[in-house]
Amino acid sequence: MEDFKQKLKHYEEEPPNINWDRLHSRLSSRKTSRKMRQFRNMSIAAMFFALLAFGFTIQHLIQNRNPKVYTSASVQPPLQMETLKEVSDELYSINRVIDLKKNYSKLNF
Amino acid sequence: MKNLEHIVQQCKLERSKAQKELYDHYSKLFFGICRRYVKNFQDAEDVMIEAFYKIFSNIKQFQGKGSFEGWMKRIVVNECLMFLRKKNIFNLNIEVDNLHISEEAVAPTHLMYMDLMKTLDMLPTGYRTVFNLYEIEGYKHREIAELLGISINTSKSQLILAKKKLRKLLKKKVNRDIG
Repeated sequence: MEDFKQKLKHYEEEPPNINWDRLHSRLSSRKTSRKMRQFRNMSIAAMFFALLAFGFTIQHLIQNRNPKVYTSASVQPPLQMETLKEVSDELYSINRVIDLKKNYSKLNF
Repeated sequence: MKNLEHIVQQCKLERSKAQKELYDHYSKLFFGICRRYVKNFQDAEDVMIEAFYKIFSNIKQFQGKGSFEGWMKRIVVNECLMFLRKKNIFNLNIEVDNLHISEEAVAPTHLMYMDLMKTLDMLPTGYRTVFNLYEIEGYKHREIAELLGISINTSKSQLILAKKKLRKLLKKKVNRDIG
């Protein structure tokens, strides 16, 4: 019986050659499907980041083009008006400009 | 075969060449194991392919602790058992408590491997499985009971009955050859 067991323990039989091809095709398809899955996941991630970047860019552009609409919540300091100084040159005198305006308005073109 | 460790590393990287080398080296042995458990030749082929597929798919889990061949053999044996369970061809309901068989020697030394396999194939699936697991693979009755979902006593009685039948078959074979 011991001899029988030993012989069975070391029993080997040549499998048909086609079995490697079957196994290889299964392993290859597994490899391909895993790569496809990785590619799909990467594509989804890339698409998500691209959309995010696009959104940020659009928002940034809109904010810069129409600042009145998109004002920030922070309080802006009041605008300081420039006060014009009196000038001696008559050409730049305010009173002269006012007079000129009056005279022109009287004229009917 | 080149350095086994190197081949295992290459298999972990899914290199086809290394996978082929490993397959070429172990396919005969593993097909032999499958044939011991599974009677049908085509089924044994399918089981071996499935076992190799699992080996290559899970090779990253092998941490290098213990024997690599032992690790692979366990996968092959488990695959055979899974196949038998799926086919539901176990017949392990017989529990015999007081079975005893004499240890008289049958001398099958001159028997060829194919004769041995034919003799083994003549055993019912349940007998053959328990005989293989206990006598060839070296599992304990407790482990066999867990693996097959049977009681320890059933495992013991199946083994005794398997041995009894084997002796009978071998004796018949020897007598036929001498006569």
